[in-house]
Amino acid sequence: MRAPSARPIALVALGAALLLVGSWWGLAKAPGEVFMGDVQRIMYVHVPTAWNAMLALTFAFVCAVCFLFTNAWKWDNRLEAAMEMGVVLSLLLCMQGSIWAKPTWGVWWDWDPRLTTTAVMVFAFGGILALRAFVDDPAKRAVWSSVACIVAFVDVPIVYFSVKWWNSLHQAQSTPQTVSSAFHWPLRINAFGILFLWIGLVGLRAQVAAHRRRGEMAPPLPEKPPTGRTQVTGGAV
Amino acid sequence: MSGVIEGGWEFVVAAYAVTAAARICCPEYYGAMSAARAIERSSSTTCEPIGAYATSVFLRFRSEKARGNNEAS
Repeated sequence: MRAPSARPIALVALGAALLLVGSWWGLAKAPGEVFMGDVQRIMYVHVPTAWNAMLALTFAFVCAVCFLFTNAWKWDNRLEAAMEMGVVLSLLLCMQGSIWAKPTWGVWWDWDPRLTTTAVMVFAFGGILALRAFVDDPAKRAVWSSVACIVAFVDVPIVYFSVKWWNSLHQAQSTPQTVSSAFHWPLRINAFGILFLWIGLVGLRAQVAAHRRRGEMAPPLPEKPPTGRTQVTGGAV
Repeated sequence: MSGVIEGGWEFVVAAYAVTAAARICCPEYYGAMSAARAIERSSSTTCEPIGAYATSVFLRFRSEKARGNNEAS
C-alpha cells in the first residue's frame, strides 16, 4: 500500500486548525444572542456540521452516479468513504441538535419534520453501509450500494427544505440573510474547517477501501506442495 | 418569565466536547497508534476503529498498509 499523500493529511491539519480558530471565536469573541444567550454558541458547530453532512452525502450521490456510468472502482471507493463520513457528520448533527434542543425547546428530541427527516437520512445511509458489509462480491456490492445511495439521496433535499415546506419547531435555514453579521465569521471559519477535514478524511478512507477491495479481488495463492511423508493412494492404512 | 435563556454553558461545553471527541482530537491518539502497531505485530487481524473518527481512519489506513506489506513479503 502506498504511503498517504501529503494532501489529505495537510487538509485534515488545516481543517482542524480552522475549526479550533472558529470555535475559539464562537466561544470567546462573538456576542451572545438576544433571546438564547450563550446557548446560541452551539450554532457555530451545529450549522456547519449540517451543511457539511449534506455536502458529504451529495458527494456520495455524485460518486454513485459516476460509478454506474463509468464502472471505475475509484468512484466506489469514494462512495464508501463519503457515505461513512456523511453518516458520522449526521449522527454528530443529531447529538449537537439534541443538546441545543434541551435548553431551548425543553426536550431532547421532538418528532418535528426537520428532525424526523434527518433521522431517516441517518438510518438510510447507515443501512447502506451495513448492506455493504454483508455483500462479499465487490461488483454486486458496488452496484447495489450505488443504486441504494441514489434512492436514499432523495431524502437529503427533503431535509434541507423541510423547514420551508412544513410548520416546524426547528428554525429556518441559517443564511447571511437570517443570521446577524456578528455571527458570520465563526460560522464561515468552522464551515471551511469541517469541509477541509472531511475532504482529507474521505481521501484517506477511500485509499483504505481501495486496498481492501484489491485484497478481495486478488487471485488465491497457489497451495504449497505437501512436505514430509505422503500417503500412498490405495495403500493399507 | 422574560423569555431569555440564562446560563446554559454546560450545554455549550457538551456540544463542543462531543464535536471534538467525534471528529478530531483524541488524547490517546499516539497511545492508540502504538497499540495498533503492537496488535499488527502479534496477529494478522486488522485494527478496527478506536475512538474518534479521524483516529479510526488513520488506524485503518496504517493497518491496511501493514497487511499489504505482510502479504508482499
